[in-house]
Amino acid sequence: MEEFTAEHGELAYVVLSMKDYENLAINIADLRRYIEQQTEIIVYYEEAVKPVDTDTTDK
Amino acid sequence: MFSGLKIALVFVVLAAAGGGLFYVKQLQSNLEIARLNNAKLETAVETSEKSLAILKEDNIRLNNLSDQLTKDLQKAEAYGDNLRNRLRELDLVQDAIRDSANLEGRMNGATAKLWRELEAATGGDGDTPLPNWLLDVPRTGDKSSNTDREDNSTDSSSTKTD
Repeated sequence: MEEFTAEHGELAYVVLSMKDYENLAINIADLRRYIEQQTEIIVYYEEAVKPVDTDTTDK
Repeated sequence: MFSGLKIALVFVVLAAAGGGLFYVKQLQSNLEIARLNNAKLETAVETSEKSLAILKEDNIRLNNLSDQLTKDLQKAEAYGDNLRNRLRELDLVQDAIRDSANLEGRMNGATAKLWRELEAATGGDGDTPLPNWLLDVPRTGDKSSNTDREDNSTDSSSTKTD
């Protein structure tokens, strides 16, 4: 606790019920899912619009 | 009388020969045009076949990309699913009553791990060092250090980050 106060200053407690903690965790998990899915979608579109080497079709 | 007939016959023969020559020339001209058109059509068919091959390749590539995207989107849901299952299995209130210091360490470790994973997911390194107060909090439940709690947490333990 001393180290915490040394690093962050005044110590303050924030209390929430276990149910609220669970909801918070699930909401953060949803945010993480959303970020990861958006990243995958961006990667998909980047790959989809990437120009393809057409030399192989000419041979 | 007969000489006039002969002259007329010669004219008829000459006219027929001229007509025949004109007809042959016309045929040759039409044949040349047909050859040129045929060459153009062959080029057009070749271009169409190439375009078709490219479209087929694109279709296969996009199908593969789409399949991969579906897998990746499903994989992104794994963390939330695991978390929900873990929270359903655990009774955090009982855990807190039984060993609050242990639960505190698990929560702090899980939170620190989650933030680092979010950092990695948003383009960062994801290797931010753990804060000292998290590393040094003594535990009453078992003897291991708080660093281990990160892998033993309430909500991030079952996450697969591959």
